Amino acid sequence: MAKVGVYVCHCGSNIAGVIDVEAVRAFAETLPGVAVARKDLFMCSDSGQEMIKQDIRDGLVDRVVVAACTPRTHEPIFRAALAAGGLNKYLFEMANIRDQDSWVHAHDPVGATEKAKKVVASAIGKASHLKPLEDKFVDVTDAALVVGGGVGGIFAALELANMGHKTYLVEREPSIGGVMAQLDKTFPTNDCSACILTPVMVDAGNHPNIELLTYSEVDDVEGYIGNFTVKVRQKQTYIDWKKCTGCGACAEKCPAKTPDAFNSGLSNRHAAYIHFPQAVPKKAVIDMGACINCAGRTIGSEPRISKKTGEPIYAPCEKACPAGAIDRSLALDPNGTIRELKVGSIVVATGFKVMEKENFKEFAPDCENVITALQLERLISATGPTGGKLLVPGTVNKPHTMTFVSCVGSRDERFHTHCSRVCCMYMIKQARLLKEKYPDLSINMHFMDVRAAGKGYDEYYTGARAMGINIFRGKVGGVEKLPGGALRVMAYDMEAGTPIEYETDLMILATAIEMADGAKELAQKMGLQFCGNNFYRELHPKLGPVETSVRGLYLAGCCQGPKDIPDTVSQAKGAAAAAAVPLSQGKVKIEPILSEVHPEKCSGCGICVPLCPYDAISLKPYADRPRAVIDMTQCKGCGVCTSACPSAAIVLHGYEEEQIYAQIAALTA
Amino acid sequence: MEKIGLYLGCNIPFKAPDIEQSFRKVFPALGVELTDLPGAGCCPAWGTAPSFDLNTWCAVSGRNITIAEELGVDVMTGCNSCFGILSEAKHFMEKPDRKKAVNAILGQVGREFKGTSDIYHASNILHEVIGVEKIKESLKYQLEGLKIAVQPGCHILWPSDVMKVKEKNSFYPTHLRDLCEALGAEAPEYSRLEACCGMGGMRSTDVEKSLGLFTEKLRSIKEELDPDMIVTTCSSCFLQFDMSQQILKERGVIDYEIPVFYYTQLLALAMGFDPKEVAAISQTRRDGVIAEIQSEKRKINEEEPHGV
Repeated sequence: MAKVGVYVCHCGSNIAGVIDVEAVRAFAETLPGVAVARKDLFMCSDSGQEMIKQDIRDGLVDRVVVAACTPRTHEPIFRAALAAGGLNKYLFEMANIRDQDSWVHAHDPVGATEKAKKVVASAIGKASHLKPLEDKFVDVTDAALVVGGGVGGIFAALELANMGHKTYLVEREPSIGGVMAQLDKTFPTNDCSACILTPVMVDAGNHPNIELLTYSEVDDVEGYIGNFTVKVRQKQTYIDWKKCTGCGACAEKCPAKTPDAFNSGLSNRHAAYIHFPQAVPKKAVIDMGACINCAGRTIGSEPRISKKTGEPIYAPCEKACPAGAIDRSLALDPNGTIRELKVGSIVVATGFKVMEKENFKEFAPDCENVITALQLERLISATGPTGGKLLVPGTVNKPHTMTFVSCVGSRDERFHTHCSRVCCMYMIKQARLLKEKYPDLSINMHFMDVRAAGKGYDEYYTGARAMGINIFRGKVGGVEKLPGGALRVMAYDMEAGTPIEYETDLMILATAIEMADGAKELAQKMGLQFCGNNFYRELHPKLGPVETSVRGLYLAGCCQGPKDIPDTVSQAKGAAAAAAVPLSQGKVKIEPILSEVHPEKCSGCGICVPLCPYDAISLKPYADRPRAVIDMTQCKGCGVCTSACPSAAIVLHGYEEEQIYAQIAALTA
Repeated sequence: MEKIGLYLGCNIPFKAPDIEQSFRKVFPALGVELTDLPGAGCCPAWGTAPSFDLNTWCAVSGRNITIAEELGVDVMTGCNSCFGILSEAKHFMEKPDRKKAVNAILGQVGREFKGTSDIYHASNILHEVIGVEKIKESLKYQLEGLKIAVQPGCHILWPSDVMKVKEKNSFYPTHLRDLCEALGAEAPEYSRLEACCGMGGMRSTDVEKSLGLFTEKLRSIKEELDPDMIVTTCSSCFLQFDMSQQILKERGVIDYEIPVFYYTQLLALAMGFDPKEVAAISQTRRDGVIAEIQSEKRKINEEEPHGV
């Protein structure tokens, strides 16, 4: 007969504020098999854990039930206490009386106490039948994958590579660099973004442990921590990158044009193009969506022969390439090529996008003089469409007055309720840079609040006020187009308590940060979860900010939530450190909560094989016939096979039949 | 022939019966039969029940809508306030709880709101059901060379969620401009096109503020367009533009006046109807522009096929 020890936690007032803890304890004491029933203010404290250990050492208990918060965060803590006391750590069961009881039934203390008794009884029932289990270990592939080549992904890759781990850096654009490469300068120190980022991009490109896979996307992810198999699709570049020297001659001769996403659509690029001047790798691609197939040179076709000269007629890009990297006669696969990578851990740093102005009907989105802050960033960048001169797109004149609008799509129930965190600061940066360059420019900034929380940030903001930049608190209700291209801004000044109206030449919308395109698809491939604001969910908002619910998968940067460059880099380095742990340990533990086939009972019917969502089951010969075998490294312990097996030949350790029946019996007693 | 219930409201029959006459002329001529809604009452106006009790508002609006439901027709209003009130009330009553509470009240007068009739504005019917092509074909006079400042008014634009017919972007509405351009006139955008004229609650509580808004709007119209006339599809806006220009003139704030029409009045004139019937009452002088509209030189050649 098992000797169950029951420990009921007050969790301060979290549980005891609603549930009568003593009543639950006293009730537990009466149940069969219970050797001791105790309570404590915080069971997870040193003294609480010591109570459990002492009871084990005294031989009082050989099964442990803790009625407390949630196994999600605290199961590992109590399992460790059992092990320290000298008991197999899987002889532990947790009764969730906080997250699933006191927190949800705060209005009904009596009902909550009754529910707690049932939950505890059910846990005791199961605990009585628990069996000792042993952890299993598997070897790890010593390589990492970083998805996303923005500043977060670059730093995660560099950290991992510097620790000596082979690292693949996958980026869907032709070059790494991400949004930071589009920025002009960075707050609060006004460092030139390209000047600080480009050397780091080059480091990543040259690092012996880093393999760049640009113009590539993750196609499929299989496996588990330590042993992931990732399929990466390199999109078709239509230019042989082994030969391409990045000279840009093809782009110069290409007549086809399409909006340049790197310049946020403010200018056009050619169909054959290099992502941006400092691209790493500096390689050209042909965008087939924009290519006009000059000289009828569709990919894989034979060139026509000139009637005059008898020579074949090639497309301008082919003729221009001095390296012979473009050959449109080759039947290149438009789907690109698939590469299979074996890695032990993965850092996801897929970044963000900003909302387009078309979403905001009240701000004259069809007007060229209304632009997003990212577009302004390109407009004031030396590598931008105007070479860094501030010109109003609609009139191509210098503006006399310009207007910044904050929280466009952020903190707005119609779009996103979250704060995009960086807008206040980058708007102030843009305003300061422009005021320094054009002292006569009148700048009006409209904020809901100025959020300048960060080292040196508030000083940067108060400095902007001192420079004569006009700061208004209050929202902009709308804007109207005036004859001649100017705009009338209609806003509210909360400090003066009056509506204000004035004319402006250029209006900047600080549009919200949101999940990057394709983030949902990637989440499905990887098993990532989303939080309420549609960013990837971290394991714990405070204590697990780089981990995810999928072991071996880590997060960095804006894909987890809006953040600025310093925070992104910090998180990237943290994610890299966490991702390096399994790689440097060389092996990972697998919890033994897995399904196992009893071959002597298995009839070999094969029902379980297609049911397994993880392809963990196969039929292998055993004695006279084929029987099911479960690959421990693939099994996630979901129990689908266990419940489907007509011969009851599959047991799910930790959730065995008699354990579950004992729980049901306790709940229905 | 399309059939629709004509909900007149208060302003049109009491203050501008010539607008009602213009409805009764143009809609049947364009293939829409107007059915009266016997016993229809106040919508109720914004300053009454809608300001203090949602169920009462919905019950009064609901009663009006049930009259159309019994006749099996949708509702058409000519007044933006009525349109907004009835549309919003119907939207509120789409929630089962609200509908139940309202029907408990309506039950006392033997009525039940079912939600089978939709609410349209006259402008919606002209733009979406009849269409600009049919309007063009119906004209006897064309308005080429005349410039119109349009005034759609607030309650036909917002909240667009509750409306059957929506502008693509309520901040830059185009339906009334399309309808005016169908007459051959020019109807350009101007900066305060979607702005409030100052009528409504503000006119009854703070005349000076109301006139302030109106003055700003009128200035934008004069300075940016200098139009031959102002055309609206809201009877309240019509009244504000018609009467308040006189006040501003007396005070010396403006030294001009711009003739004002409800859209169907202008349409009726362009279709050749008698101005004494369809555009007879106004404080702001319209004789000159009416004579210009129905002048010989604007007559559309009768030999040209119309196909009405």
